[in-house]
Amino acid sequence: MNARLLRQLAVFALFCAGLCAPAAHAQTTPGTHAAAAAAWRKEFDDVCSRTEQAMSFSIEQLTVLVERCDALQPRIDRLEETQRKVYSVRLHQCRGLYAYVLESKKNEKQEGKN
Amino acid sequence: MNHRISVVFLILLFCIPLASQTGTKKKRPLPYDYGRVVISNYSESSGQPPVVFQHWIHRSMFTCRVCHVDIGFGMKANSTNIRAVDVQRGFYCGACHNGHTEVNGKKVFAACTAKPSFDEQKRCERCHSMGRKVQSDFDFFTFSAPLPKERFGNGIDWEKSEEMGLIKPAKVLEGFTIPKNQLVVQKDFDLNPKVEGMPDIIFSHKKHTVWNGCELCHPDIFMGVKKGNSHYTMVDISEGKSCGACHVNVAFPLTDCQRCHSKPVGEN
Repeated sequence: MNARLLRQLAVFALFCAGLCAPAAHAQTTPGTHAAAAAAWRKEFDDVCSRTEQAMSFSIEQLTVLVERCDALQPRIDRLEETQRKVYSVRLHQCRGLYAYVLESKKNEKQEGKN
Repeated sequence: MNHRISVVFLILLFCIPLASQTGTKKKRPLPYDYGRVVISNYSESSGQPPVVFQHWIHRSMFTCRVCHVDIGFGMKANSTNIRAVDVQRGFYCGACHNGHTEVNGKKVFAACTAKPSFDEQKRCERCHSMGRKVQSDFDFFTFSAPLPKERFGNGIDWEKSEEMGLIKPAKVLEGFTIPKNQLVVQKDFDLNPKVEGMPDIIFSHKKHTVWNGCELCHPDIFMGVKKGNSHYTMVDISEGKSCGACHVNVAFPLTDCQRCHSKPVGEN
């Protein structure tokens, strides 16, 4: 009898756990999404806020900035269509400038050696 | 017979001048139409006339950079592929035209809703105005009357207007502009034209970056890394390349030669 009761309790517990799990997931998902959303935007703002200083950065600093832009692209690709369109263009401009200045500095350095 | 010859002669007399007008001659736009952009990505397929965008009123309120970098508008008409849903989500035109953003202390009217009611249709027509007679909040002549004059384009010296404090184009749009540190302005430089006797161009980075920043021009419009390696021609420029990206349709036009070719000949 006890064993039967225990089995029933165990089944009930499993059933409850199954019911509660999606609810718990639902509670954390929006927060997780919001945090992820905030994270890409924070990174985007941080990387692209330096464009006006681009000419004063070293080759190493510019290389890091280009890499950070490249790392952001897949995160932007996962956004909904409108945001993806807007921020892809913005990231393209920002990355383009860093890459442009980087190339210019590398050329200058090369010319200095020659 | 004589009658037939005179009819043919009269037809030719009318047709020859008409045919000569159909070459590449371009009609100079009127001051209030200079900088006008017709946007029609999806308007007509959704039953609306194309959008008629006037640069003059928008550029008096915002720097070029706010719209073409921070909001993400392309530099060519229809290159942005704006959809109504993008605007309704608060992007592109909807960045300001959302019914709550205020510019110069005035609430900016909202863009169209997804299914505009009969009353709301009037609001749609304010932008979707191609072929319609729409009353604007701003009259070009009233607006431009106190501003310093120029010979071409809108007939307004925009740079001087800002210097005199008559216009105050905002550099920031909340939610879109990333706060930035002070711009490191690059040096001005000369460009030597190939035509003998033509004054050199003095290119001012300062004048251009104050409204555009850096990434609007580099590298998409000016990709040359090293000075002297890129060659610009007036033909390319008039087709909208390099300087022509702005100085054909919006900034002072190419007909205003001395604004760029400004270095006196023989001066070092």
